[in-house]
Amino acid sequence: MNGTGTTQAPAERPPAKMDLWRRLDERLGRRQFLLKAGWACFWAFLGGWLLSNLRYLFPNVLYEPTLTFKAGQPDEYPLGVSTKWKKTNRVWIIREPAGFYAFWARCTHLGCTPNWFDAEQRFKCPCHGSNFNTEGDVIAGPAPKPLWRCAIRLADDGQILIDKARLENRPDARRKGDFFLPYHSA
Amino acid sequence: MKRVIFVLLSGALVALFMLAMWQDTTREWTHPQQAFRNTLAKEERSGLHPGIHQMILADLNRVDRCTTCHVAIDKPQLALAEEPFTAHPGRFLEWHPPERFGCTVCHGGQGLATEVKAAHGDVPHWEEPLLRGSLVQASCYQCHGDLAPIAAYAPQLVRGKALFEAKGCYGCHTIKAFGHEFGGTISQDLSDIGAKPYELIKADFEMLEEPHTRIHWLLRKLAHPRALNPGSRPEELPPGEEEVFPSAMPHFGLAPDEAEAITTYLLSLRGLDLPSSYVRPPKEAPQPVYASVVERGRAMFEKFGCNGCHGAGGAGGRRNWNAGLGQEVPSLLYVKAYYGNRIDALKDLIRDGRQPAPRADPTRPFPSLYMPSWKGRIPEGDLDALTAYLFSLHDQLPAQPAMVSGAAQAAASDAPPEAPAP
Amino acid sequence: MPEPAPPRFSIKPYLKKTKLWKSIFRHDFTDSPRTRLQRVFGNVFLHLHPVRVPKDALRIPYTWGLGGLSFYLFLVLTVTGILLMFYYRPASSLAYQDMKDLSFAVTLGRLLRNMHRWAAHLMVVAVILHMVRVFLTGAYKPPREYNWVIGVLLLVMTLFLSYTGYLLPWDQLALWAVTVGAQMAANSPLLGNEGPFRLPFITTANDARFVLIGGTVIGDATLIRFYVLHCVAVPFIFAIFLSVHFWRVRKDSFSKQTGDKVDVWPHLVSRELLAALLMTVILFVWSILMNAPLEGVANLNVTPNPSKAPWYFVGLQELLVYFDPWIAGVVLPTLIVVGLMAIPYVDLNPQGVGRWPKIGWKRLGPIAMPSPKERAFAVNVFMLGTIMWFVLIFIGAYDRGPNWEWYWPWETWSHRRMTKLTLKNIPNLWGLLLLASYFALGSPIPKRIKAWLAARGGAKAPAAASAALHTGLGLAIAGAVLIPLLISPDPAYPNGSRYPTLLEALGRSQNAPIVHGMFRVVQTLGPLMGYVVNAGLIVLAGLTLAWLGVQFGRFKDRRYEELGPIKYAIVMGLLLMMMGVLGKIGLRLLFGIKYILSFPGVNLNI
Repeated sequence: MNGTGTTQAPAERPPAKMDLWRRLDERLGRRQFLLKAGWACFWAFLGGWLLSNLRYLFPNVLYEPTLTFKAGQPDEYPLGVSTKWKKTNRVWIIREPAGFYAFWARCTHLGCTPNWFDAEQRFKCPCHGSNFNTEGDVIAGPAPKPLWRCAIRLADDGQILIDKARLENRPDARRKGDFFLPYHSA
Repeated sequence: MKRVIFVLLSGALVALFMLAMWQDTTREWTHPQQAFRNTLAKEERSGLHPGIHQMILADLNRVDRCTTCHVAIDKPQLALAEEPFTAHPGRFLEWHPPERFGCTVCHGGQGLATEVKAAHGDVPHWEEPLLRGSLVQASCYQCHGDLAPIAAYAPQLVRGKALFEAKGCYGCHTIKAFGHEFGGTISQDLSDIGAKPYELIKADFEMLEEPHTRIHWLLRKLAHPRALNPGSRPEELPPGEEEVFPSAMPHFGLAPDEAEAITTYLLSLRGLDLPSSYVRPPKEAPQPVYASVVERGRAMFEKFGCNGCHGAGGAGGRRNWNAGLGQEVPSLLYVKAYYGNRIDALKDLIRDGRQPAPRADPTRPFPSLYMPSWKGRIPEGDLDALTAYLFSLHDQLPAQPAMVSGAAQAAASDAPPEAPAP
Repeated sequence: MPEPAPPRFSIKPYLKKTKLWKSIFRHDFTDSPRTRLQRVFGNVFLHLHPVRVPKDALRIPYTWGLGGLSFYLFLVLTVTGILLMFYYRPASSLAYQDMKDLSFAVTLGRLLRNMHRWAAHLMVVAVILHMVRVFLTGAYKPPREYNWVIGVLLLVMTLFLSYTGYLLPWDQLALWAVTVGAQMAANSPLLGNEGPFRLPFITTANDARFVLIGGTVIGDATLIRFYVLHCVAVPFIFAIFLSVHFWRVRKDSFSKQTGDKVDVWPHLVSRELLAALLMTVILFVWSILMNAPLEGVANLNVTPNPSKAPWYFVGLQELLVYFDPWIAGVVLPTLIVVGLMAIPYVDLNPQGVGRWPKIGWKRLGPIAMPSPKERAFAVNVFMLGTIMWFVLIFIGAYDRGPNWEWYWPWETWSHRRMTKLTLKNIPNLWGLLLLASYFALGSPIPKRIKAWLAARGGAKAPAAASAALHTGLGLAIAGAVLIPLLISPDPAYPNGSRYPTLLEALGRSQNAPIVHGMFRVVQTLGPLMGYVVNAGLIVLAGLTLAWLGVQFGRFKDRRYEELGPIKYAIVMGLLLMMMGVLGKIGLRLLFGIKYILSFPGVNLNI
């Protein structure tokens, strides 16, 4: 460590070498320099070690249901709200005459799973009473945002493919692109 | 002095820590992923997340990370020609969706590993090595109890199973598969031979060249049954110890491809209890119709594996150390000559067996092979047919007076002992 | 520098004036005699140190920093252990998978696991060496006796921590090491289902092993039990004892109170920092170069061959070969621990405190032996015991192969080797004679009896009596082993057939070299001459023992006068027990003698 400056200097310029060493010596004192370099390394190690341990706490693999899943053929769904995938994937699939969209079954207030009440055509959250309509908009309760919609498209084999990694709930964006699947049965 | 030590030690720590981090961030699986990404156009990369990919197969109790490196295995449109970036050949993934089957349940290997050698199971303490080449067909029989519909895709497995039946292996070995148990009791139960722990074959591994795997062991054992169990002669043993005969398993003279076919079949017997939604149990076979009683007897002779020890067509010739009758399993061509009209005595012998077999030399150990009891395992109707077939074998003998062969038999049992063949 | 530097704005002086700073840091950090003291007693972590220590006590070759390193390793184990707990689920279906995850998927997981495993090994080594150091420098002597006892308990807990941690990976190595260990609990007297003097209500479902593993076979219940013991219960107790240990070190003062004293800050603290850094470097290098072992997933149906305990218990496992399980697995370990604890209370010798023993030469008859100049008896016995323990570990680790058969370290193991061991018991009456005369060797001739003897038979009478006693005992010991070998029939042979002696049965076998030699003598010289030669050998062995006994006799009489009857009985009992174990191992390995005394009905096999 203390030799880095000296070994790098070309041999034909000994004064420069001396200069560097003398300057260091004057500024810090040789013993002081060693000590500071030592502490620098020590804290660098400790800091790096703590940071890497923080990184260690972020798992690289997850044992969770995959975020994308295939939800069967579109023709299997009647019009209305399907709670078929709520249990395994926490998703509602809604079919309307024009096509499909999918909700992530998670209240935008504090994350509970709302229930679907067919008679009232509403999702009601049991935790704090937020109510959502079939468009996912909040009609009552404390929820600040509409329900999140998942990306939905048709896979190569004709099944509905849901991707929970991509979410959208802005009124202008949620009915187009990847978040709405236009479908007319044959 | 102390300060120099301090600087050196803390400097070393920084260096070591950086080395550890470097090792961790450049793990083996990162290289193929990077190489693969480099082959792709920008828009093609969007669906590929860097990192360890895994398939959680809760039903099969497995987690497979093979797709971490085999990135394009289910993406034919992106696949390259060289490993590990190929696409899976055939339509197998269509029939066996990876999210339901994963990889290792068919191909073997260590699903959780993310390093090539470990993942392919070529490391100590992982006893499911990759099933390379056509050996992978062994996995089909875990679920497909009925091989007929998939015979075109698993020819080696089908052949191995047929050979196992034809060579009479069932005479000594029992196999339980798809809830159905069948076979003899003389030797080991093979129901989970495909998962036999290496700890139990360590002694054989000492006689076997590398690689020390179950696959290699089965191949060698089938090709040369006595090579791994040569026994020990008295002169090799401490004084006063009894000699040990070589393996009693007959040498069937299998060709290498036959041995591999049977190995494929045996590797499929893993004794796993897979979820019923995966398993296609075999269909009930239709009752075969035989042209005659003798034909039926011949079929039973093969079905119960009598030919394993008594030779094809009952012709004999199988070595049985220190047994009377020339240290061989008796030929059955003389059954009629010996039993004549005492057909019930023959049936009783088959029912009750004869254990142990008579010794040629009473000072040496008992022969390893003997006639097992088939009571309750061969139905009476089949037994009648079997005896009829055995009596019919007499016709294959060259013309010879019956009394002479009986006398020869009697003489053979008193014959002086003969040293075991090397 | 003559000129003062131009004033620059600096935040530090400002910060130091704030209430916040002052509330946290009670003193300033300039180096002055006053702050040096303040740094130590004003800091909760450092105040276990005194503020000044004798200069001599700081010399590294005096303590090698072993106690501090043990504690540092304990800290490392705590930190890495807590981190590992984040990715470990103590269930048999998940534990092994989590090990694979740590190796293959978790950032730095493999490194942390390696560090935890290797630090555990290092800690066991450091704690043992610390104990040896404390013994050799006499640091357990008054007033530090109690702290030695705490230290022994900490050693036991270190071993138990390692043992409970061993199961957690749930691989074959873990399962079978723990199986062997747990079986010892089943063999404990009174409370073990398979032990001697089993209480009438003890069954396999309520004995000591049942409590240890939480069931009758090792399974999920064992795993969660060991997990809690390893991660919470034992560390908790360990920390309590550790605090007492430190506090006592401080309160009982140090051995070397003479000489100059120096400030703990910076002289001791800097050394401690360097030692910790060095240990960290070692740990890092080891963990980067070598992975912690992980075998196949635990399988109760397949026992690896050979199946070995972790190295620090392999000596105990080797000991189990020679005795009934409850003796080797329960009684002897208990005696070792109790014996270690008793050391400061039976060692009354005030010499040798605060310095390593100096080795000199001592004559024992015609042989010159290296021996410490002070505390020769204590040091020799302790080192003999320690070395014996490590010899047993070495034998277990390197000389035992498949089926626990003997393999020299240079031999390759074979699972096909045909070795049939022949081991024979000595008939019980001879065994009783052997044991009785062996333990009689410990009896001293007290002064009063000597005086009485001298009064009756003249000045030489006590010496003559001692010589007679030891000659008799020596001959009895040699005879009790060797005479039955020559004359006792081999019970394995049925009446009426060949009816050889134990000599012939063992002499034909390959695992009893000395008896083999005796048998060869009989074979080559013919029965008559052979037996005469062998009888001569017995007498020779007996006389050698007798001569050793006489040497020992003078010594033990002195000890008896010093220690008094109770302490003498403890010391001599432990010493004879230790040498007896050594002797029994010798009888097994050299003579093929299985047990000296065998009463299978009451599980008494020695």
